[in-house]
Amino acid sequence: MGTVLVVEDTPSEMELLSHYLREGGYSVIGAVSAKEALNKAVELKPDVIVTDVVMPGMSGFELCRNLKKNPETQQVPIIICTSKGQEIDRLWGMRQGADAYITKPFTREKLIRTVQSVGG
Amino acid sequence: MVDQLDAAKNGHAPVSVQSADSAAAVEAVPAEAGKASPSQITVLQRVKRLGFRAKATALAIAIATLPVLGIGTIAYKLANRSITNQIRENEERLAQTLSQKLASFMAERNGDMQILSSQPVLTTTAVRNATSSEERRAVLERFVEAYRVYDSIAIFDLNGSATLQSDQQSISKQSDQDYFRAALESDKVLISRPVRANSNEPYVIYLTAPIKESGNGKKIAIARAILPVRSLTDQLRDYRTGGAEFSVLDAGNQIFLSSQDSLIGRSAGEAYNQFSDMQSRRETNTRVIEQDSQTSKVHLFASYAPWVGGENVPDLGWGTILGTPTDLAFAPQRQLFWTFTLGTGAVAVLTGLLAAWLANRATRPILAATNAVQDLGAGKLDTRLTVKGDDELAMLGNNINVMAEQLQALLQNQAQSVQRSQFLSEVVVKIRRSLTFMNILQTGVDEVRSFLKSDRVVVYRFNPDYLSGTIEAESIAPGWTKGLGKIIDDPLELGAIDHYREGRIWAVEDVHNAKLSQRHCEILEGLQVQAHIVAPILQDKEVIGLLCAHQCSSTRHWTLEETELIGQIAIQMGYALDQADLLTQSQTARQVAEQLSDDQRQQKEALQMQLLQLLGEVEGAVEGDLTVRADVTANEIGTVADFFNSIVESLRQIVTQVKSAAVQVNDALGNDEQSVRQLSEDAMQQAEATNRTLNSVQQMVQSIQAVSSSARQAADVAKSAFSTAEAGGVAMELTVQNILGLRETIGETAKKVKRLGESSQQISKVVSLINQIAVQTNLLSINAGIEAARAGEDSQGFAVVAEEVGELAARSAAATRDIEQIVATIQRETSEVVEAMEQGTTQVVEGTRLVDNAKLSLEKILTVSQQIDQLVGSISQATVSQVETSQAVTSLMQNIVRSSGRTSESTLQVSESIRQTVAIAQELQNSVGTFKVS
Repeated sequence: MGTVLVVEDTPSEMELLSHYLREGGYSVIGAVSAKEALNKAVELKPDVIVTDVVMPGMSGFELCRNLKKNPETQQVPIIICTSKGQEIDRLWGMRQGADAYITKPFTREKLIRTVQSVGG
Repeated sequence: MVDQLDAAKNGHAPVSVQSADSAAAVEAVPAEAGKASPSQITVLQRVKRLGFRAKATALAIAIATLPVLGIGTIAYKLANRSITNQIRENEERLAQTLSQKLASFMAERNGDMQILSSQPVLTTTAVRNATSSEERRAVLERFVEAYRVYDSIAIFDLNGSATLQSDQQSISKQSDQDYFRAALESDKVLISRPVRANSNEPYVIYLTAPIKESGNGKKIAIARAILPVRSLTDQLRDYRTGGAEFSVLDAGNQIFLSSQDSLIGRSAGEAYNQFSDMQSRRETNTRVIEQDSQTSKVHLFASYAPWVGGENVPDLGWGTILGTPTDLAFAPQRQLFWTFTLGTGAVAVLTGLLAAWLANRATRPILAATNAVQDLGAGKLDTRLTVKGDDELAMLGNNINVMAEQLQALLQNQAQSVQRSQFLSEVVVKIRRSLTFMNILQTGVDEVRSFLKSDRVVVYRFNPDYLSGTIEAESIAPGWTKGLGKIIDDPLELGAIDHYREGRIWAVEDVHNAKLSQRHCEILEGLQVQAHIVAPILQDKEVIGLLCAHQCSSTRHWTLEETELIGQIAIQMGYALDQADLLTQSQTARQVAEQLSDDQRQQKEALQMQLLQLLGEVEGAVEGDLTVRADVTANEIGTVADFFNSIVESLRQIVTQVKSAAVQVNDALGNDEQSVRQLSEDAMQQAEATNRTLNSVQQMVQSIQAVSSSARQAADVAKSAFSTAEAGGVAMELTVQNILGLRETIGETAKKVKRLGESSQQISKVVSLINQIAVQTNLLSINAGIEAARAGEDSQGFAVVAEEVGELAARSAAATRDIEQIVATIQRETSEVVEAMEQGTTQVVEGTRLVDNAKLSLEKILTVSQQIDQLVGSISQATVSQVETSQAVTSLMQNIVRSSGRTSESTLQVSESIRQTVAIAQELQNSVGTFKVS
């Protein structure tokens, strides 16, 4: 099973995501900001990155752009997991390089299926 | 209405035609008018405008009178034609008898002359001699008296002198008269043309007959009788009775006899117009002509008859015109005309009056009907016709009366219906004005009751299952049981709902006699109902209740109008209910919409707040600060904020790249500028060097051109040398020829000189001969002298002669000696000449040889000069091609110079551009510098 980098500034959400993923058999790396996530993505080479959008400092969208700009992280699939559920948000997220877009609240199955679908 | 006005203008009364028909009529009339002329229009219009009575009267008169007039006209025409023919035949017959009478009269005269000419007194010599001239004259006198038609009778001899005459008048010689000459040549009785001495004398006719000697038949005399035309007039006196006019024309168409004296002597063509036409027919014919008798002109119905002739009379060519003045000739015809006109006119007037009276009588009822209809049309509906009799007109009158009654009834109905519809519209307005359900119902029942004057009007509203219902509104006259609010349990039959849905109205005049269900009867009895009428109220196409009017006091007959009215009001109540429903719905919708717009306003405000926040975050970017970043929030604007972030990021990257690029460009441009400047200088130097080379080449070209011109001069010189040498050669040839000629001449001369020498030797021989002769002569002279001396004195003369001869001989001898000397000199000189000649010949031969040598030398010179010429030509060609080549070189070099000039200019431009680019790049660097990227 693969490694998933979870980027989430809300501890409870982080806990929930990590819990679901671990149950799904993934090993989870946590990052509480996008900056940290950028560094960890380069260092730890996760198989999938799951990120929130609304975060202080760098947003999830910007994180996506930066990951896609960097050749080392260019190939890593990204799943955006956010409470922003409008169509424009989804469209923008996919444009910024995300491979999948999940809106909160989500079920465990949905999360796992999405992670699997992007190749995790 | 407009159509009718137009029709009135066009003069067509729009009597009782419907508008469509009248329009058609109006359309048709201008179409006709367009074709007809204005006068026809007015006549047509006038005829159409005439009243019926006038038209009928006119028609009746026309029908009565036209046949009478027609028959009268035809009968007159026929009678007229036959009378005209009769008159014509009469005239022609008269003219012919006149002509015949003339012919027979003239035949008698012919016979008279024959008898006269055969009198024995005249023809037999014996008888003539036996009678005295007085007796013979008496015979002639008797003749004149017996016939009473002749003026006189005379006998002429063949010379034209009168030998015998019936009267005592002297008669001139007649031999040059026309008739007399004709008589001399003829053997028969001759009748002359009517003649007269002058225009005042009467016409006479000469009759002549030859008198022949009895026995031998020889013509001995001419008998002549003078027949005055008066005698003819006497014969024709009868024709003047009855007003007839006649004229007799001779063969020349001159009138010599006429009932009108003034016509006598005139040409028939002048006196009668159409005469030539009549004559040209060559038979008797008749027509109306004009007789011009100078004093007056008269129209005649005249016949022309040509000469009829006869056995005993020659063809005199006399024509006859006989006519009667037209007023006399056609008097019977005029009488006939007046008889017919008056008779026919009287009959026509009588029948016309009768017809008019009948037409007037027949049209009177129709006119009365028309007036009545007009009055009806004008609105006087009380108008009635008095009807008499039993015919169609009476039926028409009856029908008009019926129509008037119906019109009155119709008008009354219309007034009532107008009243009703007014009431209905008032009620509708009132109902529509009430906007709530209950108000509508209450207004409806109040109004219906006030109109029907019934005791109670209620609205019964069904419950949804149609099994029961409630009385929801009521209007009631005082004293009757109130039903408002009552719940009535009266299930509706299945078919009834459908009937009501179709709007059927149910009227019952008497509830006790109607077949009603028991339940229903009970309910009605509870409300004291005697008669009722029920109309359905439909809301949204569904039956929701019934509008019921009750009569409690008595049974009631519901009129059609009342039934319809209650139906109408029920329908209008339904509409008003629909309207009220709609109003409620729209009010609800408005409230919802207001709520919605409130929400939207709040949302908008929140959005604006978010936008303001976003603006505050990214404001720095306007000043060039590209380090700004908008917070991506959870709300709607969050994503938009990231759009900005994304854009600013991209900008940041671009600006960074532009900055470094600008710096690089600046550096590179600095280097480029140096290189370009170097390039430009090099190009300039190259251009200068090329210019110098060009100068050298041009100098070389000039040298070559100088060589070329020198070569051309040399060629000219060589050519002139050649031609000179050629001329020299020719001259040499001529010299040789001359020298050869000279040698021959010298040879010839030498021969002649030799012959001269020989001749001189012959001269010396002759001289010696002469010398011997001179000697002998001298001897002879001496001998002669001797003889002379011997002869004595008488021969003295002879001695002188001998002396003289001796002297001559001496002188001859001396001359001979001179000649011998001269000849010797000649011979000597001749031999010298011959010698000289021989020397000359030798010299000539030598000269010829020398000339030949000179010729050879000249030929060599020719060859050489030709070679020189060729050489110089090739030199010249070579220089020309050299000049061309060097010119090509020159132009090439000029091109090089120009292109290096251009190169230099271009490099200068490039240099300038680079300098500008440097400036721009620096500006760019400065501009980019304003962006803050880190």
